[in-house]
Amino acid sequence: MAVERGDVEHVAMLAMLAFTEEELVAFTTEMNGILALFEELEGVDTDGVEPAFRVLRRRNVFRGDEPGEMLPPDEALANAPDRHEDAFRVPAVLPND
Amino acid sequence: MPGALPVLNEAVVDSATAVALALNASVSKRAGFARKNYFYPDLPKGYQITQHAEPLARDGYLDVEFEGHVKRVGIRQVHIEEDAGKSVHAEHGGEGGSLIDVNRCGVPLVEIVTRPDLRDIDEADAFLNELRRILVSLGVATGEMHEGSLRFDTNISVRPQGATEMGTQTEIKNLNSFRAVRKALAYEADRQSRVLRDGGKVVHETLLWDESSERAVPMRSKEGASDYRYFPEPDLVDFEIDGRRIERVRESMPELPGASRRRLVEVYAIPEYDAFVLTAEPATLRLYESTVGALLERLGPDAPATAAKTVSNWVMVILRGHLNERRITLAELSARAASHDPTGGKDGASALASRLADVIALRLRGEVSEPAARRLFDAAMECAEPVDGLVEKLDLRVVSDEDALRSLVRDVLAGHPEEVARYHAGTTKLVRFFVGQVLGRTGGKADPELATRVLLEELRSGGTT
Amino acid sequence: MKLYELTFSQIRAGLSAGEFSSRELTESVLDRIERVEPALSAFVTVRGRGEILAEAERADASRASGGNPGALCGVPVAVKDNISTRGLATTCGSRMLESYVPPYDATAVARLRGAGAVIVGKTNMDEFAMGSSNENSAFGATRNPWDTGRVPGGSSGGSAAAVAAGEVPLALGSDTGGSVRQPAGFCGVVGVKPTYGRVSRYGLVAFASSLDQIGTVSRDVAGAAALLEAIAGEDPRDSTTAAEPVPSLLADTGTDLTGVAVGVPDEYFADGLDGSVAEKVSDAVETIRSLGAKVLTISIPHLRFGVAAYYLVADAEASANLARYDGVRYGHRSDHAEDLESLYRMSRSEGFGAEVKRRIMLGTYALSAGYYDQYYLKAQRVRTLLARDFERAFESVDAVVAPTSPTTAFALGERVHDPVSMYLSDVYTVPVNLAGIPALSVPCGLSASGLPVGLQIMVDKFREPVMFRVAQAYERAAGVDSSLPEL
Repeated sequence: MAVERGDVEHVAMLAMLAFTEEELVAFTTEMNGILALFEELEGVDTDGVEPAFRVLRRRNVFRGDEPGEMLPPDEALANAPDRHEDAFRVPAVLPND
Repeated sequence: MPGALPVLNEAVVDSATAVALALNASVSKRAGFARKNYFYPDLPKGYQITQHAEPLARDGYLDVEFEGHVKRVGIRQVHIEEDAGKSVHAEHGGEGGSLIDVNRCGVPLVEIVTRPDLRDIDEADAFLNELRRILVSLGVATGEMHEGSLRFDTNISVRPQGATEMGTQTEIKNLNSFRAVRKALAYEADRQSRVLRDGGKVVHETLLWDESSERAVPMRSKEGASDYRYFPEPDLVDFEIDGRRIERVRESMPELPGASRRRLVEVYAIPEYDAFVLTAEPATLRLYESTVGALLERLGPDAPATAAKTVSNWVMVILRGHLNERRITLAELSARAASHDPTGGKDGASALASRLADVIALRLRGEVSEPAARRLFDAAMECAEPVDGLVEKLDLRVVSDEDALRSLVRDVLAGHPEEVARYHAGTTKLVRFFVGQVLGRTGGKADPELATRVLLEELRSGGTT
Repeated sequence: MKLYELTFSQIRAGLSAGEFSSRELTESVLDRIERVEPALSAFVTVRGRGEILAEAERADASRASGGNPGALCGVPVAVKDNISTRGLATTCGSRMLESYVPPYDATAVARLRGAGAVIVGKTNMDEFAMGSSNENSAFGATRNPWDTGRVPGGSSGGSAAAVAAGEVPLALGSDTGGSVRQPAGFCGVVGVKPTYGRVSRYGLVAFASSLDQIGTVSRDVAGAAALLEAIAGEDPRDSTTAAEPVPSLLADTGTDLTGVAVGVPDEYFADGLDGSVAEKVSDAVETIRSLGAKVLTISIPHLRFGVAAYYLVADAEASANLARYDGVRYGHRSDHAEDLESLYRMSRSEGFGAEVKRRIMLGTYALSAGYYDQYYLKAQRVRTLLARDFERAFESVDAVVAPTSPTTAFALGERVHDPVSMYLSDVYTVPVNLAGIPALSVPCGLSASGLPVGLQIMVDKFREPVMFRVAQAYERAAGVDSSLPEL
């Protein structure tokens, strides 16, 4: 099943990535090549096989209901590209129409 | 932060299990988490850890008393997820934009999802109120909506009258009060109705409630952007809710509000309305029952049949008024009562119940008048002195000396010849005026019934002066 | 012999005998870095000489004051640049995190510091650990010390090259699909990928959470065991760490492998395996047999589906793990954004390199509506089959041995524009991550063209001691030349 340009654009929208026209065309071809590799799995009989998801059989790992160590706000915000007091600043979340 | 990992807080597993049991849901033996992927500024990882394929519990219900009948609301599932941050519009700070506060991120919360069983705003309101009472009684939420301890997302669809198929729904998030739920539902029902009436189609979307403008604004606009790409969360292991956990949680659960209400009506013979109010908060219910207990102890076999109803009036009206006037909470008043407890051995609630019972006992024995009892209660809350002593100290004991009262009545009538004349001319409602004058001279201590009787006798014997 | 040329075993002996100090060793290492780094680009960040030497002196003082200094006390260690180091930039080889400085230490780093190790700097890597050649680093490709026209492998290519060149005796890497073992093989050093859950992932910048594991790079097997012992063990901050106690990983059992059953899977010697690699690995198998091990032919039937299953699972998890880089809280923020959505899109598109975008796109696609069952779920089922292949193998053998990679180090630029051939070069390493088992790559000589070949030793979960035993017996018996490549 071949992926088309529109599919790539849709996936880019979900992944929050922007591509130039050229990149889109090139990536569509490339993605089809890689998907052909993935499609080899179609030949494997997996009827009745449980998916693995996690490799360890450990269960019930909990923490207690106590606060842990806290990062001081200045350290937590030290890498922020745009900070205002103890918050991160971004362009308006709700459009100001 | 890059590299940080989640760990499940065991307390939320117990809380969610308690909620599931209270809502008659079947608790899964095994549950796990998934990632729900979408971009939003209040979601720092770009995905939310939630339960998707394996929620903690499914298929419950809650019976809600509504307009005289019982409405059963289906519960689709109860699950655990992590909280997001909050964004606030940056009004100051120059360039505008939004500010993201991530302090709440990752805090576990319990989400309850209903089936589409609610038919109008009043039903929704009744359901949410009952749900809130349950959550508060379980100790799962404080119920303080402004603190964000309890929040609602609503889904709503409209359909033409008589239609059997439900219409397309929209979700409204960010509802932080019962009032906001009502407003948002009304807004959205109206908007959808207008869309349909104009021949349009309702788009399935998520809206954010904007409290200031009282409008719902679309959160994500692009078609298909809500493909959440759920997959099992690899950073957390599955967890089991075994029989032992369920038993432990069940044993620690208090009586639920519905059961409390039925019990109060049955045991104390109080009206359903009273039971409803008294069970709204666990602390109120405890105070009520301790006070009734203490009062019956004090009155012994002489207790009138209405004693429990009297306590109910005191808790619902007089105590509530006392709190409102002083802008304090029941917990604060209880703490104050405990600090006044001479033995120091009582907790706040029982210290408060004990003093309240002292006051009501005096009142029911007829030793203080109703206004005096209220003054006595106010005073008893401010000091450590025994209530009996306070009665004497404040000179609040009822004036039941008929002779003394009669001479007072005569004085009052003598001082108001005009009013006496009008009374005899037919303005009988002046009785209340005269009684008020008499009570005023005793500082509210006179028994109003006795005062009224004496007054009427004096008026009838007419102008003996 | 210069101090920087010493293996960990020699360093441990020398330090405890007082033949040299940690300060002298560390100075030698720093001089070596200064001299060879321009040709290699193995590091993204080297800490200031003053700070490093002060730490070395503290280690010397603690050793002098007696007590029982740990095996790593005063030993210089490098850390891959996707493992968080408090106050020290952790770029993940990406423009996105070029100026990101973590406010906390990864558990593995905290344990290293606790053991007295001297952290010298952060090693270069394929961006976000996505790559098999180190050519995907935003800060320039690392070169293979054996031939600077060739790649060191990836994604822990910086750690492998640094150890191979004597820039540092020990380094931490991370292995999601072979990212420690493959570069160790290409650079002629020892690389270990522990059992999934053996080492805390807390502070390891996530690529594929169900596959990622911090591993070790060293010149000798003893160094790998000591480094892993220091960082392994349950961590309350990582729910997926194992509760199993960490045993002593390396008993001195000499070279006797009597009683050990070793399996050689046919599928690892099929089409695509380079002749000179096959020859060296076969020689190594013969050496192991000569040490008393029983050698059996076994089968890993689903081997050839490993690459497809691996890339689907890894990319799906990566698409979520890398969603946090949105220009809001840390990392690159675009200057060209007009609104929130363009801030996301522009910041991500400018901050990520081509391979990272490719993987995010593939992973997003594999999870998206309509494709989840066909791709992601199918891959997870195939993963179960592959894990069962190994479970079955370990019913009859203690260890499985095979080549680490089908070829020796390839030339820079040779595969970077052909993702499919790059992915296929991971065919021998990815099954280990899918199954969650531990594996080690130990050098087994040089090919005809003078490039290192790696022998991979795989064992069942939590059986690292057997793995180290076989590796060390082979290392000693083979007498592999431990001299450094000429630079």
